[in-house]
Amino acid sequence: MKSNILLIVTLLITFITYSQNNNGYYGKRFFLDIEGLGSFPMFSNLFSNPDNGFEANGLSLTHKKDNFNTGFRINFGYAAKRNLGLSFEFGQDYSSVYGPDYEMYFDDYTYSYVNHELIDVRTTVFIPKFEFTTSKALLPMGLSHQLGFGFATSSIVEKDYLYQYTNYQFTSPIVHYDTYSNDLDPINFEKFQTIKKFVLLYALNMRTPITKSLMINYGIKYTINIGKRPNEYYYSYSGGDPTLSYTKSVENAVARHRGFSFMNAFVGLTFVF
Amino acid sequence: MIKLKLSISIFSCLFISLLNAQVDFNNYTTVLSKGKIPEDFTKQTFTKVKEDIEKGKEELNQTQERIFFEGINYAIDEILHSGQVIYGDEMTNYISEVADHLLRNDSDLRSKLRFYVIKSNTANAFSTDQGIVFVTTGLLSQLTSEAQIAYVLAHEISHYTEKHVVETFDYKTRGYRQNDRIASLSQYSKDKEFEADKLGVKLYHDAGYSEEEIISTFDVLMYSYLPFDEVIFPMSYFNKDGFYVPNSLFPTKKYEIQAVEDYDDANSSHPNIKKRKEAAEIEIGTYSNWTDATQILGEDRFKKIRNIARFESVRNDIIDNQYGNALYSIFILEKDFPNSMYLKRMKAQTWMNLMLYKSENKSSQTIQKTSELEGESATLHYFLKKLSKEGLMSLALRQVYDLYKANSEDEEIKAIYNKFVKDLAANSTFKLEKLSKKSFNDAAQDFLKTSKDTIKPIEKDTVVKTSKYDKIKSKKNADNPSNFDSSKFFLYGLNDILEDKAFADLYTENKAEFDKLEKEKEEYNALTKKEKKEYDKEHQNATESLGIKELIVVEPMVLSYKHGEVDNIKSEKLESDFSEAIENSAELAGIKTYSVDSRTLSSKGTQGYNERSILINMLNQIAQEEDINIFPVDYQLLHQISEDYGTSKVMFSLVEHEYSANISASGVLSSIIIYPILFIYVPVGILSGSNTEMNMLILDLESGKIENGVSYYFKDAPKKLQLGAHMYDIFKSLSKTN
Repeated sequence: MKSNILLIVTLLITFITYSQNNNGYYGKRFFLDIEGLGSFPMFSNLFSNPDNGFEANGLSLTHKKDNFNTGFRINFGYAAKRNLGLSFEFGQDYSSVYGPDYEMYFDDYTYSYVNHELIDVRTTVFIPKFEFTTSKALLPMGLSHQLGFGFATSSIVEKDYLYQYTNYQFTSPIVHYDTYSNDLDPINFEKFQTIKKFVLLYALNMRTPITKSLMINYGIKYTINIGKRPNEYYYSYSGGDPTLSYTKSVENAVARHRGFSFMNAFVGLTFVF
Repeated sequence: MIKLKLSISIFSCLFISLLNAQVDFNNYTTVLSKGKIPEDFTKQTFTKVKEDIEKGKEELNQTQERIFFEGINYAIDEILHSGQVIYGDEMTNYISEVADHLLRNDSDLRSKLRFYVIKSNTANAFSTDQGIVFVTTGLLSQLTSEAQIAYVLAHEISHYTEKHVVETFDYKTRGYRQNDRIASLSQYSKDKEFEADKLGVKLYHDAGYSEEEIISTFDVLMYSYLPFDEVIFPMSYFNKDGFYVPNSLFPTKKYEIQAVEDYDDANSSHPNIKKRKEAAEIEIGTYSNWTDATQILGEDRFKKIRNIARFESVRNDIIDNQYGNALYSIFILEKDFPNSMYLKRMKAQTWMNLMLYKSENKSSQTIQKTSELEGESATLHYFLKKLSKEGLMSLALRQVYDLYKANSEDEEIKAIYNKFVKDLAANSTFKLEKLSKKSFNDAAQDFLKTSKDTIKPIEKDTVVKTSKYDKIKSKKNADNPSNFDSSKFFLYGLNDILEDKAFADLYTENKAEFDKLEKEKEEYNALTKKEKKEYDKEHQNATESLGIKELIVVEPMVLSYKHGEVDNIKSEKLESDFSEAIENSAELAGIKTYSVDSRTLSSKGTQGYNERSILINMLNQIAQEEDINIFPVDYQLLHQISEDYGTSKVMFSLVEHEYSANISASGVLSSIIIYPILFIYVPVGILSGSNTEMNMLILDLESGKIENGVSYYFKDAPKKLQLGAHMYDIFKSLSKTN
């Protein structure tokens, strides 16, 4: 009987033209997503030298890989139609990059190997986007595709890193940035230029309701940084700022890291109102 | 004490006799269930499965038990909740009493069995492992004695006692889909059929019935595909008061009955009738002391039960849009019940629906195929097939008009008549102005008179004074004696209708409304694409805003699939969730709902059960042909429901769900080659694997029309909140007023 009724109703409905007004999720059309992001920077690790990754362990540097990156997003949106929504995403990603690994030039004649503690990177994103569904869903509920085009800036976190120089003449002690004058520190924070990139975003987003105003939100985001991925090293020759070479190389490392970190999984909550 | 008992039994007998005598076929209405609702109808299926598994079955291992109990319970419950099964009515009581007699010496076995009747014209009876025996009205309408019913029941009881269902379950059920399972419930192997025949003879003999009726039961089964009687359909049946149907529209030959006893049964579950008869005769010979009793409960009672079944067969045919069969059954029954309002209503409905099917060129669905014509009913089917569109419309008008004129006080016939005139006015084939103002006889006589006068020379003045156009018009005028053509019989004999001012007013009013709609259509077609889009938007907003504040909600249905098969237990649980979601969302959207649900039958009882059955039957009838707005067969009962609930809007809904990750081997392979795509392809495939389709339909009980329908397809699980959100959206739209 069930199957018969199924056939009957679907058959009858086939012949009915009907378009729905969007009354929202239980009458609510605005939504706020708060999401936590996580990713395994596999590609970044693959194309960098993990031997150059260190973590501070007291006053010593021990090898450490950049294993897991995190972040958060706040997304405010509006379901304009049952299957089309508009939203604005703001958030930050927290990751680390390896210090450029084997050489840097202080002047025309000298270079050193640097063992540098993993450099923390903070990326801030601003992405207007729209969401759509391929079926007759009821946004913001259910599976949706998100497409966005926005802007992201990445800068390194200014903190008291631990590092060590080694060259053919001497091996320096392992020191903090605070130990000596700024001129001797590998990264010149003042000269570090924030990495600014346009980004394209695609996300597959599933919002599963848990109450009439709250949903669990999860999915995967794919981000493409628009622009050329730089070489790993920046060389500074005679007369140059002795710290510029390393700082610029770190800029490149950050940009490269961004280029390789294109996929994030996320989970969070959606408030519907 | 003995006196008291005697008085009670005499009183009971009298009371039962009175009850039995209460069937008034002149004011017959379809049989509804009566009394306390049996547990078979109120208990949830998964509870039944759970209880059965707890009891266990010796012959089966654990896995087999689960498959068996799940399969059998869900299949039987589908039948029990199909809206076609009745209990506590005269037919069911009668069958139960025949069973009481058969098993009067085995009270233990009797207590395990329940008997129900299915309103279906398929002549069938079958028993289930749970101890339920179903008998169809189709079978009851065909039998000629109580003894035949007794033998059929004895046969089915033997299937039950010999556990044939469980013995044949493995090869019947596994790998079958749900529908096939139901169809196979009355099919066993040939050995099992012989065994049930044999044991049935013993039970039947012990009950004291006549041996003669066993063999005749097989004849009944063999010819049960034919109508319940073979009565010559006269060619003059439709001729009345100046309306005449030429004999040339009727067949010139007889259509022989094709059924033979010794058919090839190689691919059949049942042995052929000849073999069964032979085996039964051998078995009959092993018993002595046969009696002559063919009616132990009384012939009058048997005939009454059979008549009820026959009256029901007309309704069943109308639901299944088998209008040729319905008319033939009415033709047979009206001989014995000429004053039956039920038959008159059914007749009016049938003609109206036939007219609607014919005007849509779909009447072949409602009449037997030429290759299937057999027996006396073939005459009527042949005639209906041969009848032109105009012919059928005129005949239908004649029939419906006459029924209305003779019974204008009857609300149902009045409603049919009004709808008929409206549908007729909307039909472009039927032109009132083409009809003659003469009866067929008068027109024929005028023609004969004119023919004789043809020798008379045409007056010169007439030729000159009549224009070319007047001459053409004159040729088309059915009232012109020289234009008479007996093959166009449908133009004559409707003169009294044409002269009826009330009819003319009703027709004109409907015609004007139809013409207005047609004009609007034309104007719409002349619009530009952009204008059409705007119009559609406005129009759709208007149609979806029905201003509904109250709604009857028939239990939703859910089919959740797992590996292509219905997961019955999950589906049943989802149905409960969906039901709750509907109720909550309607309340939030400001719509008051009245639930008609098999899950609440224990509290709503038989009234709730009957309401649900009537509503489901309505849906079944409407769904026979989606393009045609037929008249609901249970018009009065539907009105009663509408009045009781204070709303005529009823909602049916269903959900289908299946999870299947959209990942294929070729997709993965391609993604590996184009490496980064793998990281999109796999998650998208997993996340989008949940497919849910949700359908909702709103019908109007007063008009039988589909008021609204929504079909959603979304990639999410059918959880309570998700379904509720969609339903809220639908309810909100429906509650809006323009």
